Order: sequence, then structure tokens, then C-alpha cells
Amino acid sequence: MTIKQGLRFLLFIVALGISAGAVVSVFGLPAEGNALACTKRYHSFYAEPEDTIDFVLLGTSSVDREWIAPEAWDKYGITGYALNTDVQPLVLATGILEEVRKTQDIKLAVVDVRGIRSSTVRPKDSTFRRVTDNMKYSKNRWDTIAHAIDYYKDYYQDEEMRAIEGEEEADKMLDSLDEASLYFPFLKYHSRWSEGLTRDDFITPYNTMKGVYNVENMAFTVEAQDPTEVVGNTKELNGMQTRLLDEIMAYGKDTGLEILFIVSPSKLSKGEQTEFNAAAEYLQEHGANVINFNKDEYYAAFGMDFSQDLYNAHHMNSRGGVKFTRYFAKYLSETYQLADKRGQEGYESWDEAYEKFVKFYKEGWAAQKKEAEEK
Amino acid sequence: MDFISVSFMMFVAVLAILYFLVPGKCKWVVLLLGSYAFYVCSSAKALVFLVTTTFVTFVTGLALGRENSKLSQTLKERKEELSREEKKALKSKAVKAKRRVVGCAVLINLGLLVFLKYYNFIAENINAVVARTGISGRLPALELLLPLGISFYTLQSIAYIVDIYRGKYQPDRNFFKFSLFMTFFPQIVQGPIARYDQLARQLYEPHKFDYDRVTQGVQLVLWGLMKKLILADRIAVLVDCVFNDPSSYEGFVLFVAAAAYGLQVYADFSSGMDIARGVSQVLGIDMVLNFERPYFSRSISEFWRRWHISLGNWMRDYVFYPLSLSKAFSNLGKRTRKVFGSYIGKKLPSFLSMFIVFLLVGIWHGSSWKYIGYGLWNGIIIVSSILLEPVYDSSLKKCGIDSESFGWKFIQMFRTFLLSSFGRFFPRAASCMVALDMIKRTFTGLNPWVFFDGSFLELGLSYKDFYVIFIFVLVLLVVGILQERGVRIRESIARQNVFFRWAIYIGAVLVLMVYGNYGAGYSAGEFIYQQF
Repeated sequence: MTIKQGLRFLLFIVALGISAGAVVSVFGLPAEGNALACTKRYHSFYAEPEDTIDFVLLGTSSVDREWIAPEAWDKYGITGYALNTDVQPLVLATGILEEVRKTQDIKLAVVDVRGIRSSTVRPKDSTFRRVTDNMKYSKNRWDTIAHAIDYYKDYYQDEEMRAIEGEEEADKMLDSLDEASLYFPFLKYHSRWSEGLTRDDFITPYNTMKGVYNVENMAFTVEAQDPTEVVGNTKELNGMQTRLLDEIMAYGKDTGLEILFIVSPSKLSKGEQTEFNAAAEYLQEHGANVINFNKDEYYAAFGMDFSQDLYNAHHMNSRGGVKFTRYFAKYLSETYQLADKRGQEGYESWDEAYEKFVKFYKEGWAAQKKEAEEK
Repeated sequence: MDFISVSFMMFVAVLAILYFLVPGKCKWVVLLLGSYAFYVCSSAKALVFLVTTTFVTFVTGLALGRENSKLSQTLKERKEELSREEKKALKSKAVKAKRRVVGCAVLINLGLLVFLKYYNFIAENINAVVARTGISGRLPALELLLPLGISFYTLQSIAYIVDIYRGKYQPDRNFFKFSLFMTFFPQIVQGPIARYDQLARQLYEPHKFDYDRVTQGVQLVLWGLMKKLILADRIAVLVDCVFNDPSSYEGFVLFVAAAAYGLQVYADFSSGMDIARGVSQVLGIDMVLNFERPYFSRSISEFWRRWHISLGNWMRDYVFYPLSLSKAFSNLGKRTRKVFGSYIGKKLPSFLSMFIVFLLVGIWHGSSWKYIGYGLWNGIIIVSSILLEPVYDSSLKKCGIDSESFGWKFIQMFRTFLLSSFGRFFPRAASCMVALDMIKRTFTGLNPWVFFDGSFLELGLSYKDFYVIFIFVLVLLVVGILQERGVRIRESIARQNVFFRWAIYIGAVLVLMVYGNYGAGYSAGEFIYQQF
């Protein structure tokens, strides 16, 4: 090979790499609904300037419904960013935190343990993907996926779990795991050409309100619920559940990162509460900080109105979100002595986000009111 | 290790780097080790069969070579003193000795193939016959391992033995080099069935890195991947849908599925060949062409000369000619001429040879009556077309049709396409009876409206998939027409402006990435001919 040929070959590889990279970037998670909301939230998080975030919140879909980051900023000058995803597997928590700590010097991580229910610790690759597909390519992403795959296999090979799942179903789940496409999502999504791509597939979508949930009209929907009938009994946690909690606690200890476990407030059945109560109890026994917001005193403290603040049993609308955020932000800023950064240089985007949120909030509820009157 | 896998591509890359880095004398060793590594990774348990066949073939070659040398030396030394009869007697004695050696070797090599591939089929049929006679006892069904590439390397070994027997070339005296000829990794999976005199020297000679040759090899691999992943594996969805539940379909849907299967096999098999030839080209080795645009054929016999050429040539050289030129067939010809007249009588022995060839081609494809049906179908069509040749010729003359006109050529090509497509029912259907039933229902359930009422959109493919298939078939057609006209596509592209050239290469990669059928839910690794 002559030098000229070598150079030409290198140039070709570069051109091919750029072209292939461009195509790969288009074929990601479908840019619609909640998946798009997750993508936007993660993209926007990566765009945050270094060391400007105080803490992050992880957990299932309830988190970004109840945590209105611009509201916490406006009232207390703290920057908390929700990196939850729908049915976020707790096994990914440490990987996400590791990813966050690459660019943000966070003091605290809030982990919602609503994902601890026996039905939600059951791993599914679709729930992994909502996180891992949105992570930037890096060693940590690779490790996070490898860790998730190990958990997936352990879960379906675990005797206790196989007894719960059924042998056939467990084997089916093991066979259906497509490891390669978790590492390289393009393998899965390249066939999306036949579904039709949208503008958001081509242009990196961002959430300009610091992760505020704004899918369809859910933030302004009201579905009256009966108040949660709070119970104190518990249901024994299985080995997989305790393993997940142990892992997150160990991560906190190893890294020195303060971790606050919460159980997000919403309408809960008695059965659901038993598992959350057990998780809270287990964490407390192991010296972790836990707040289960599904207690009458907390409902009363932040003014939870089950007839107005939820858009379905498990999710708050923006009205409920604002109430909860004001209460929780106050608690966090006081308890963890998070400095008020309002007016400081480098945080202008938080002011802008709040302005946008106020407009979004006012217009949304006004439209909802108008619609209700028309009906 | 499948051809369509990241591990195979990595394997080829590492092997190629090693091959070009080591000194010339050791290059063949790299290929040998690589080939064995590939085989072990793909089919480790079957290695013993490959080694056995290689050893038997090598030893047989030496024995035959010794007989050939002994005879020629004796004839040379005693040239003056021996009479013509004595020379003839010596030759005859040598031939008998060589035949015994060949017989033993073929028995072992072919025996392995027949036992591993056909034992259960034979046992099943014997059991069925025995059961009808009321005799108790059954041959047991065995769980036999079918070694990767056994149908290909067995034929390759027989070709080598027969060629040495015929004195075509000297036997290889280096077992390890000969092992490389038998196991060369790009060809062991699905051919082409190589001939020693064509391939061996290329394998043993060192090849230096040649940038242009390497890039052209990579381009051929890319083209193969496109045919496999974009076309073959996409069409497979429709084919599987219909053939897995044939009773739910009739008429044109059945015919389209059979024709689509033909296209699928072509794209699948020829893509495997392209990958094999491309990888070999990277290493500086030219493998024989196994396909020459079969769908441009004007008759089924031409189709078989363009389809799986190395198998066709093997059958021609080691079955058809030996049979046709044998004493028995010559005597048969004399007798049949007396009974059927000169035209048919003269042709009957070659028809019989042809039938035997196509029967063997069918059986070679698999151990099932459906493959025998497939062979017979082709044999019947070819024999019929030869028999009807005078009728065709006179009809053409009477109608004033120019047999070289485009229109007539097109009709012939279309006719060949139809006939070959009907033949496809046999290998793809679950059984011979199902294939016959499907052919019957293709005619009894004529339903042209299926082309307009969206029936084809219920066969697992979306209309967008059909667009992709249509466009890619169009590309294949254009490429085929250009190649028929003697245009060497890769060389032509290589002569273009660098930006245009790169746009084609990069475009091809991107098209493959997006439109290829791979990833979750697909198993692109398997090639259809890999199972044979």
C-alpha cells in the first residue's frame, strides 16, 4: 500500500464513519409520546453546563410529573433535574448516577423506589432502552448495559423468580433478550424506515423547561381519585428487590454521594403500599434516608387534593406537581443546605425555563378551563 | 461462525492482516490454521469427518500417483521390448488396480456422506416398505450430525481422486497443503466445488497485499451482503408465510411464493458466493464463478449451466460423461436406435444419463422425496425440450419468427422463469405431495384479483418492503444486463471520479445498514445452501 493509498483509505473511512454516524443518529428510540419526552430530557441534561446541577431525581414516570424543576428554582434557587424514565429499572440507577457525575458535581441523588414493586423489578429490555438508548456512547454506558444484562439473566435464572414467573415464561424472556441491540440500538431501530420518520428523528429534540413533563395534555388533565387509604403493613421483599436497594445504598457509601430514597405520592392501593412500606422499612434498617410521601401527614403537609391533583391514579398533573415541588424543594434546600443560586452567572437558562413554565402552566390550565366550560 | 456476523468479519480482517504480515513461505500456513479455526468455530464436532475425508483423499491420491508413475516408468523403460498387447495388458492391470483404490476411497468418502446425510431417509423408507410386507423389525432412526460443508467437500475430494486416476495432474505430496485445499474456509460452507488444478496452486503461492484487489474483494463482499440482507431475507418473510401454511392460499399467491422462493435462493446462494469470492479476492485467490445470471437463460438446460456452475460442471465431468461414454451406454444406444429410430434412439442413452444426473442433483440437495421430485422435474423438462426441439424449430420457421430477435429471446427467458419457478415448489414445500398439491392448486384456483385486492400485503411484508424488493430486483436486472454485455461493473466504478465512486460505496453501505433485514427477530446467519 502506498502512502497515497493509505491516506485515501483513511479519508474514506472518515467519510464513511461520518455518514454512518449521521444515519445511526436518526434511527433511535421512536420520537413520539413518552419515549420522546425521555429523549428530550436526557439530551437537555447533557446540554447543561458543567457543575450547575445540585441533585438529580431518578425513578419511574411519577417523578417528572411531580417534580417541576423551574418551580424549585424560582422558589428556592436550587437546581434539581429529573432523569426518570417510564418504569425505570432500579438496576440502572448506579449507572445513571455515574453518568451524571461525569459532568455534574451533585451533592444528592433522590431515588424514587416506586420501581421496587415485584412487578416492576421484573426486567424488560424496553425499559432498559429508555435509559441506555439515551445515554451517550461511553465506557459507562457499556458498563451500565452489561450490568443490566447481568441482572436480567440473574433474574430469570433465579430459582425464586422462575417459580414466580413460570419456567416457560422465564426461558422465553431469556431467549428474547437481544443483547447486541442494547449496545448498538441501531440494530433494532434501523427498520423504523418503514414506519416513517419524523422531524424529531432528524433534529436533536430538547426540553426547554428543565425536564417538565409536557406530553399531550396530561399536565392539565384532572381525574378525581379517592384518597389513598394509608396502611402500615408490609409484604416481604424478595431477593431481587433487596439486591437492588443494597446496590444503590452501597453506591452511595462507596462514592460518598448522599442518597435520599422517596416513595412518590399518589393514589395507591393497599397492596402497592405493602411493598413500598417494606422497602422503606428495609432502607431505614440499613441506615438510609427515606421519605414515604404516602402518609397522611405528608399529604396534609403539601396539600394533596386527590380530586384535583392527579391525571390518573399514579401520576400528578402540573397542579399537583407544583404543590409537591414547593414542599419538597423547601425540604431539600433546608435539609441538604443547597445554596440559592438565583441571580448567579451561568444560571440564566433556569430563569428562562421558569418563564416558559409559567406561560405553559397558565395557558394549559386556561385551555383546560375553556374546554371544560364548552363541554 | 456465520458469514453474516460481526465475528466472521473480524476473523477475516485479522486473518488477512496476519496473512499479509507473515513471510511468503508461511502464508499458506496462516490460511490452513485460519481455515481449521473457522471450521472448529462453526462445527467443531464434525472436524473428525473432514479430517478423515482429507486423509483418505490424500492417501488415495498418493497411491494413484504411484500407480500412474509405475506404469509410465515401466512403459518408458521397456518401450522397445514390450509388444502392443503386453502394453495394453499392463495398462489394463494398472487401471484395475487404480479402480480398486478409487473404489475404496469413494466408498469411504461417499459412504460418510450417504450415511450421515441419507441414513435416516433410507431407513425410514425401508421401514415403510417392510411394514407393508408385515415383517416385524425396524431400522432405528439415528441422531446424526451433518458436518458443515460435507456435500461440497466430498464432491471436491471425489473430483481430485478421479482426476489423479485419469492422470490429469500429479497428486499433492504435502498433507498439510492438501488439507488447505480441502478446508479453505470461504468455500467450505457452500462451495463453489473447487477443482485442485484451479485452486490449489493459488492457495500455496504467497500473495502480496494489493490495494486495488483488496478493495475490489471488499466491494464484492458488500454486494453479497446487500443481496442477502436486503433481498433474500426480506423475500423469505413472504415465502415462509405461504409455504408454512400452503392450504390457506391458492392460485397466483402460490405461484408468486414459488417464484419468490426462486429469487430468494438465487439472492441467498449467490450472495454467499460473492462473500466467499470477495474474501478470497482479498487474500489474492480467485475462486470460480458459481452463478452467471441464471434468470437470463433461454432454456432450463442453459439455466443449469448458469446456476450452481461448479455442481453442474462436476456432474458433467464425473457423472454425465463417464456414463454417456461408457460401454454399457454405448451398447444401449445401439439397441435403442434399432427400436426407436435414429433420432430418439441415439439420444436415449444421453437422456438416461441426464436423468441420472438430475436425480443425483436432486438427492444432493437433501434427503427427502421432494428433492428427488425436484431433480426429476428438471430432468423431465430438459429431456422434453430436447425431444421437442425439431418441433420448435419447424414451428418457428413456419411462423416466420426470428429466433435471435429480442422478443423471442424474452419469451424464452420468461418461459424459463416460469418453468424454474414451478420447479421451486418441490424443494421448498414440506413434502413432495404438498408440492404437487400446490402446483395443482396454482392452476385450479386462478385468482388474478389478488394482485389488486391487497392480498400480498397479508403475507408479512408491507408495501414499503415490496418497494424495496422491486427496486433491488431492478438494480439486479440492470447489473445483470450490463454484465451480459460484458461490462465489468467493479472495474467501471473504479475508473470513476473519486467523489462519485465514494458516493456509490458509502451509499451502498448506508442502504445496507438501513434496509437490510437484520437485528432483533431476524436470523440472517443461515444460508439456504449451508443446509445442503
